Amino acid sequence: MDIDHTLFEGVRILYAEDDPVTRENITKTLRLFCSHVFSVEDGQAAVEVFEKEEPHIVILDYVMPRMNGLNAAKAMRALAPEIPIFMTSSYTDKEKLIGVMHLGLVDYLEKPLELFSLVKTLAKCLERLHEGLRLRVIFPSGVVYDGLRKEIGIKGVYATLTKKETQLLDFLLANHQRVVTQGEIEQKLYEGNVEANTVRNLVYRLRQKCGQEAIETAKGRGYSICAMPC
Amino acid sequence: MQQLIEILRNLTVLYAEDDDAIRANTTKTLQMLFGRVLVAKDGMEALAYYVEEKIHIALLDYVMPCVDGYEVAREIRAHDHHVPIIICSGYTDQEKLLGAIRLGVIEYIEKPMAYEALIGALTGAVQKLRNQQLLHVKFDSHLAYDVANQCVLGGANKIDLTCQEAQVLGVLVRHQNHLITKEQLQEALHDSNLSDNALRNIVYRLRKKLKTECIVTVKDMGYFMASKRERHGY
Repeated sequence: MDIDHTLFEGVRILYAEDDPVTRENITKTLRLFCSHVFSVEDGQAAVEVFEKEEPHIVILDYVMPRMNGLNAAKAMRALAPEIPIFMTSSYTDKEKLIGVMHLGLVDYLEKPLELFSLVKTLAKCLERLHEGLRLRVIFPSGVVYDGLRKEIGIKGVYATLTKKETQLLDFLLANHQRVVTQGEIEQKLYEGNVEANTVRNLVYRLRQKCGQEAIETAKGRGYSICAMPC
Repeated sequence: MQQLIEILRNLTVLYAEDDDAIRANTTKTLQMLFGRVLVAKDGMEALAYYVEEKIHIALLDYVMPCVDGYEVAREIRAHDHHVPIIICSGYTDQEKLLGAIRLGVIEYIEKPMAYEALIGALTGAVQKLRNQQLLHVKFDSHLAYDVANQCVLGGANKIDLTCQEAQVLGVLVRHQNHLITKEQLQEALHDSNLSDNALRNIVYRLRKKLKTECIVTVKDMGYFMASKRERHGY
């Protein structure tokens, strides 16, 4: 099976599994095509790493000590409603399967994991990320932003964004279906410690790089992003 | 809870079930909750509705003759990643459940369906619609009715409506391209004595606020919302 390694360049995967042998094997497999794999041994550690590293894809074993996969997934969903999550388990009883339904998992894979279904499911995750504007997007101006490499450019000429500009762009893209309020931006980027015009200036500078139409102002409410996956 | 009821009143549900008795029963319940219930007695009918109408939530029986609920869900997913799908079934074998997970079904309810389970699933569906900003019903190229906040979004602007205006607009938007009689509007406003003049005034103010020509008057009959159907947009 051919795997296009460049597909996963910059993708961060979080993997939780309590069995050390399985964890090591699958982690090795994941590292074959993805260089940023965070492996943890239970659900609680998974949630902690999730908050710190903001992974793109999450893989959770169902049955784990301290916190199981179901509760870990619930906690993650509350923070990131759209992130692709899939579960692995030796158990496929009715209660477990019905219980995970509302989480909107990409899949529920039976253990032992087969390489083919693992890769297929990861590909489905990438598709979701793509549609959710987390990979490459194009703005109305024709400027392209690569969410993994954090590069912005037009017709192959790349420019750089400052750290704050990147953070704002990623935050707007992650919440592309809705208007993001100024307060949310201040909290996310500056932990609330910010002067009155900072966000407005940041938006102004970002618009100069992405094009005016890329960021819409919802008067009195906040900002929303206008982009398409490409 | 009160708010859930308020929101559901503005939404359209597609319901498919092949068992006559169950269908009649659940339809009654759904009609109490939703603004509009599209009832299909098999998967074929359900798909026909899906092609013709804008639906917000789908409630599908799994096992049905010819085209089953799974096939309907798959067809919906091929066009729309977000519309919340709820499956109800007497069967809970592993294959069906895993299939449902892969299609992003939000809840799988075992038959017989308890009222609480249905309400729980609908609460989840509305939450999902809200997260996705899909509680908006588009009715003109640049206008959308925000069901949750009972206002109109026009591009970046928010247009506030009075309670009566919101109710009239809600009915028109829900039944786009269908004639709504004065009696239906009176009923929606819970005011059977509402005069023609008062109604005319509400519509006049709506047109003025929204700066749209898509509310069409049919003389002596009523009004309808003329809109080009955009199948997969929202």
